[in-house]
Amino acid sequence: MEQIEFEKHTSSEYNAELEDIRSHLLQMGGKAENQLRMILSVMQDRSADTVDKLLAHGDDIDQMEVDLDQECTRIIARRQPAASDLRLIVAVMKSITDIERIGDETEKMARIMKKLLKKDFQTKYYNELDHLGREVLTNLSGSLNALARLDAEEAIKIAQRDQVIDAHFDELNGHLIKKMIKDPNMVKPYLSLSQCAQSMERIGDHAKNICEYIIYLVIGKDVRHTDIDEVKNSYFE
Amino acid sequence: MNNTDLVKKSLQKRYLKERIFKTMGFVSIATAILFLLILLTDIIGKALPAFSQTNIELQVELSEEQLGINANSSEDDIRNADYRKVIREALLGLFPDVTKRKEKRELYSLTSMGAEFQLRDTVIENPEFLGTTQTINFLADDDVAGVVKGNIDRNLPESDRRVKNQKLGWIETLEANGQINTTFNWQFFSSGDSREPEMAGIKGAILGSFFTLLVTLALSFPIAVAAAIYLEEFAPKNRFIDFIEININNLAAVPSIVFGLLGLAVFINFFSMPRSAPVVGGIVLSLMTLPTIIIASRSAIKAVPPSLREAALGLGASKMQTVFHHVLPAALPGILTGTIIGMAQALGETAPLLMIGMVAFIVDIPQSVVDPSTVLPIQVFLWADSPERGFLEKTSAAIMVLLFFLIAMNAIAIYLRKKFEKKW
Amino acid sequence: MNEAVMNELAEPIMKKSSGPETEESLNIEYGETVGQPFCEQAKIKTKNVNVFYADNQAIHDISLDIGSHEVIALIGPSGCGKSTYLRTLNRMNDTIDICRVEGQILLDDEDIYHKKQDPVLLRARVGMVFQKPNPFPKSIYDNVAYGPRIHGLTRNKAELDDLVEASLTKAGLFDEVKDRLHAPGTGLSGGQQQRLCIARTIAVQPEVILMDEPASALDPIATAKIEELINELKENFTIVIVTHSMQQAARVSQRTAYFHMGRLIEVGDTDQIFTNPAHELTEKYITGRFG
Repeated sequence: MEQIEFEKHTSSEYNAELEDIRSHLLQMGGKAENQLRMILSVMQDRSADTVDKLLAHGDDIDQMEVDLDQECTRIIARRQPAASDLRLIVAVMKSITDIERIGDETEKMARIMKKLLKKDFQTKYYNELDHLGREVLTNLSGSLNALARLDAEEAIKIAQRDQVIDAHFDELNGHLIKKMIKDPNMVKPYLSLSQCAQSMERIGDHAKNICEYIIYLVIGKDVRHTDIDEVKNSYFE
Repeated sequence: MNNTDLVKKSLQKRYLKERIFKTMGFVSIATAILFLLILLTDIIGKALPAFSQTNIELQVELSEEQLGINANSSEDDIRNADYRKVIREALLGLFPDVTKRKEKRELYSLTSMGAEFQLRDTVIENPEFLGTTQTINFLADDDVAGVVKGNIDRNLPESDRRVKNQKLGWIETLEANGQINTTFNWQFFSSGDSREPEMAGIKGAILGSFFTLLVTLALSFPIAVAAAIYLEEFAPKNRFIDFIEININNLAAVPSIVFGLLGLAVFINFFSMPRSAPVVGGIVLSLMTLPTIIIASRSAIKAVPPSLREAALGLGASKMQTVFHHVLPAALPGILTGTIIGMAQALGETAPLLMIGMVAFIVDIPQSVVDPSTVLPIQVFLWADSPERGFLEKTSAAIMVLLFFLIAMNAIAIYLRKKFEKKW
Repeated sequence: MNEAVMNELAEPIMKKSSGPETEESLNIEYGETVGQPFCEQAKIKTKNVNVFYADNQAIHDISLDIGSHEVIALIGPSGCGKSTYLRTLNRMNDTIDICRVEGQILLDDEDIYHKKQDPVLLRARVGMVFQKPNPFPKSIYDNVAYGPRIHGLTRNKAELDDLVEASLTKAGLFDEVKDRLHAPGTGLSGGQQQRLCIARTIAVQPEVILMDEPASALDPIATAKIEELINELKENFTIVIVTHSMQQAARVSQRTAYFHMGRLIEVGDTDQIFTNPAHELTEKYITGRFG
């Protein structure tokens, strides 16, 4: 597949603008990834400080989303982007929504963790959650990497891996439900854990969405709601 | 020193140069205007006397016995009667003390040679004058006119003066009696050439020029426009057409006398066309003006924006329709201007017409294109060549008429261009 | 991966020469035309068309179908041959002596370059609107009536009047000029002049209208009016429009053909060309990387 170049416009300012939104998008992605990493560390060491730190920086991502949205709107108004430029803008505008949601999910998990840590609730499922989270983190990092490299092939691979996360989540959630049935007194904390697992799964879905935008950006085809294997076969083999 | 100072410094120099250039331009134009003014004042000054004519008022007794005719005589008889005698009697009646033959001849030369024809024409027009005594204005001789108009200085010693004391005395007597008067010289515009300056007119030359230009226009305009249209719009681009184009441009630069030679050899000697006739002059001049009009028409056609042609062609107009509906009307002002300038050139042309005999002395006013005639510039040439004092003013007057026609033609050219010019 | 790595990755990936590419530096093999140059209900079919100006080949082997009642936009950088191609469609190139056309151009399956094909008749069927508004220096009425007059389309004055009115109405100009039909057409504004030229073209009732950058000399409002007019005209005519404005092509056309260096690089639905062009050159042109 051709490498898409965002440089070499006749207008060098336009080059810079496109490069700007792309790098800001990656920075924003990096922030979301970092927050997920922090949550995972909380799962391991149960440090209340990390949770507080995370909650304190919750607004950073929201602000970045607003800025990027504005920048994209401005480029559309002033440059009337077409073809790959247009797809880049569309992909960026969609990706930031997903990244912002990832931020929201980590914040949600941080709040849950804060409550659980307050009650000093201890369980082996923190480790299970950490496991699921590691898989999600791999996918999120991979999708952001693919975005940085505009690597559609990698994006497809990552999108396919989302099925593994889904399966893992189903399994974990099953265990948690069983726990709740067995011990109705403990429904509240386990339900909280289940919500965390759900958040992890949602973050995985958002990472998959980003992969789909990458595919749209690079090969110009909207692959949402289609069978990802089919896409892979038709474009890469 | 920064840039602004450097620029300021150089500005002075630049402005100085500009001023010098402006002044030089103004001076040259002023010089040109000055010379033009000198030329025009000189010509007009010399020409003005030609537009007035000097008459001597005489009482002539038209007795039937003396003329040997009466009101019932045939026109031929009236025409052949001896009017000269009547005038001479009248002059002798004024100055009865003149008796010597030589002095009598001098006396008789007070009136023009044409005076008797003037009297004859009056009698033919008014047969009832026969048997009466009439007071009639007779055309004065050019010497008399010269004295009256001041061209001959009365204060010069007799030996240097063209008019001797005795004659001067008669003239002064006549002046004292109020028998000498001046009127506007209609005759100048209504008669042909003559050996006598006071009788010479320009009508023959004007009509000759008119007929010649008529032939020139009729021949050169359609041919030249057709040629220009063909060359610009239809001709294929090849060597042959290039060759023709180069030759048209060359023809415009050929000395006009060469065309005269050609006319003499081809039209008069080979085709035996009438000598001195406007038709031959017209043909020769149209050969000469053709390249001018072709070149002017071609550039006018070239200047028509191609978008106009495309518009017509794009609507499905044929090539011919495109040219005649759109290109030609748009090019017309330019073509007309070129034509009129070519015509003005032809009007002022002398050399080729000399070759085909239009330089002959022709008294009769031409009635058609085949009558022998002369043209304005040649009339100027002929009169300038004549020794009589009276022809000097006639020459200048003829130049004025010629200039008038040239200016009029240029004015028409400007008017036509303004009128037909359209913006697109 | 942490934030620092992400920031590093966010740096420009391609550290190659920045700035626009020149056409010389693009050493590209021109392959077959990409996309769908053929369509089912073709009004005009061009097959392997080559155009030469003396020894210079201006157009290389172009095969393209123009569908009935569609608006097809020809875009490409200056000198890419799009105008030349347009002019082969009604043989306006005939007026240039050194121009030679090879290949087949079929209008309703008739070869328009056949010896027996009359270019005058062809131009009555395939009308043309030019870049610069070029009304005749005549009245508005005469401008529109000229085509019908030379072709003898109407039998009497009343019919001609009706045709002139209908054409001006279709061109959206009638209301603006109905009080001054006999005023000179050159006295109208630029946009009105161009609509007059369109009215003049549709008065001949052609089947195809070729437009050579019809709005390039006009202001945005006049341009919008022309574009709206093109949109209405496609009901009755097949329209081929050459334009320098990509946005215009995107707005008015159903299909877009991209020309480059005398070659037809890509043809496709306008939507596809402007969101996801298949050919690298189309992409480069559309996103403003050269041209």
